[in-house]
Amino acid sequence: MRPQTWKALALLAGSLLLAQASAKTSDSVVPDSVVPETVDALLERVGQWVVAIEVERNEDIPLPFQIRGASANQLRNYFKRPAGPATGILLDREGYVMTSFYNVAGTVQSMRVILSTGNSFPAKLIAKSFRDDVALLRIETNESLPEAGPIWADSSKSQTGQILFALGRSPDPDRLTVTEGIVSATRRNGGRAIQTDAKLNYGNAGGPLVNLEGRLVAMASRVGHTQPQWGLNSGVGFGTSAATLLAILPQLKAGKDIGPFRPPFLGVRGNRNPSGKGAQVRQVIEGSAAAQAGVRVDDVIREFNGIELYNFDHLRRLIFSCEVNEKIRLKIQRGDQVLEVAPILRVIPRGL
Amino acid sequence: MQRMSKVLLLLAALLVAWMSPCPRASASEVASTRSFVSTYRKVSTAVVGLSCRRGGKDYYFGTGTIIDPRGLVITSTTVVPKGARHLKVFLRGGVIAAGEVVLTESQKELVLLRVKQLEKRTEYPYVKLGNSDDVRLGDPAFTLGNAFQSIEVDDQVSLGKGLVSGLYNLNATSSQSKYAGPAIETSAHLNSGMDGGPLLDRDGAVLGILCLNYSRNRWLGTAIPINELKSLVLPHLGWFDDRTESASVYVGLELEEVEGDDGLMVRIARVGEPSPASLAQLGAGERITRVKGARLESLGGFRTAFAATRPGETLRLEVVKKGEPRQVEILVWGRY
Repeated sequence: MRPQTWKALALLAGSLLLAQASAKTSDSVVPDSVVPETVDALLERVGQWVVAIEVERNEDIPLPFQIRGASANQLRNYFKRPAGPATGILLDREGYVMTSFYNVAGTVQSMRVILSTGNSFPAKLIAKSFRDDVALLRIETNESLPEAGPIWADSSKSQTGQILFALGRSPDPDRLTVTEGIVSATRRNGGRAIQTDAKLNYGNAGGPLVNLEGRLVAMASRVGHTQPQWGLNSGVGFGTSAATLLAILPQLKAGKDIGPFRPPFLGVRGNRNPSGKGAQVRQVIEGSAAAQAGVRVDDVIREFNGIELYNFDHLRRLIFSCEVNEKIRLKIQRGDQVLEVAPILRVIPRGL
Repeated sequence: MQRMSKVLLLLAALLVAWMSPCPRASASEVASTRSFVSTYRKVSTAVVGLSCRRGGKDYYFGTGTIIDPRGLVITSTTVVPKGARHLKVFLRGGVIAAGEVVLTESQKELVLLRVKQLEKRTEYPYVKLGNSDDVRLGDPAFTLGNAFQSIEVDDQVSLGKGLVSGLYNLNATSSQSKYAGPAIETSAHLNSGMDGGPLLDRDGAVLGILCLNYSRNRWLGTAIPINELKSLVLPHLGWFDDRTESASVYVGLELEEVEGDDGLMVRIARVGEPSPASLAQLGAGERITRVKGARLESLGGFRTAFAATRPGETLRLEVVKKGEPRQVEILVWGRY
């Protein structure tokens, strides 16, 4: 006969302990019709290409303003870059790593990228975009790197209200962090970035914003003391959208920096009349694109690139959606005449 | 060869409950509001506002959580510092009771206090302690508390909803916090007055005690994991029912009855971790020869000797390990 083992569990003595319903719940949650995935499964998958970056600096970029007064220490504490690693996105086996330019700004001595596997490698800055707060780094190693990289989301399908997760690897490179939120706006920074209410902070800058499928929707940017008015964890956070990143990556990989946004300039001033048809010109700046194209005072600009203008503010907004050196088409009414002109937008001249 | 004989089975509920995995959050659950309302209803009655004074002038306020039916409240030293006087407990319904400090452990920022009984045999609503070792990144999490004195002023417990947004070590202290060590970060809001309050899982069990320390890389709320505090809290937890003369207590011993050379003997099969037994350095394979001074020959004997033991009492055992007898004292924990 098989020896029987009987065990008494003297975990309690009293009488009335009811067996707690410790119903064994399975690890997998009932498949959901929307997303058949648990948060930690999603994080495990996405976390493979979220990396930490350690930056040694000789000098940091200056604080955005002078901090004085009674709460100076508190303020400095808030705006000063914290010690510890920053977050980045490993793009491919070639060792390209994308992050927020803020993370690598200042006079940098050396940089190391720590992969999700725990391996760490020296890295070099390849190029940066001031316009989108993006820096492209490359890991310097002869070792073969793991096959990992983001699956990109289709930015054109990005919708306000869509759920997002913001991931980071700071303060501990070995451990992910995750905050949740929604897309608050799809076309910020001239349509190049999204806005989210997910809490974004120093540890998020350069990290991914992923959707419920784990696809890269945007890279958290403009987090840090370069944009003090937005603050940390304020519920107003920004991420450079996937479409923008995909568009600028070839240029960055070629080692070409992208400068800050240069507002295009037409060279007309007008009344801010709230209603009416078209934008009435009150002044034409000498030597500007408008002057060269023959726009005159008292002309009414009716159309901009085929779009019927409502008022002067409408015109202004449409100009800022263009680039410097872009040729535009204007339909102008001068008395009974209707003219078509095609000025080329220029940079704002100094002193204006 | 030893022949093992029959014994009875008591219970393993606690051990199993601690070890069973929690179901994970589905990603879309993060967006649903369904579960929040019921969680809030279940636990908010056990969340109390606290205030006290120190040195005449300093006024402190914060949050506490009732964790047993006898009104044991867990909170933080940032809410009830050493030397606190005029300790007030703000219960639901605008009831204000006095509080009495039971334990202060500054290193872990832990304070236990008891609500002074308003009337005899009051049973308080309470929240259960969860298992912070089982917490995973992305799990739903809630913060409840006395945000900007919401309990004190309006009898309203503020609820914050978020995730377990990070698990890391806080290496340095900051704000008024003296705690450094493992932390659970949450994206649920943590405002002034919520320190000392609970971080809860979706079932409303306490995962941690909200803390004022934070990481400068994150600027988010953190909690001290409840498992960091359990060995200090559990000895004070539990209750003894005067009406039925029964208690609900825990020592963490799994025993077996085996037939030795000189008759039946009681041997330790397993020791729960953490438990009063593990803290008393007991290990599997050791034989228990005496309980409360009386010779032990069967499991039934152990049960008899152990009956009517109250939480916080000391249980004297004589154990034999490799022929060496020794005396062991176990501080019995309560449980609900």
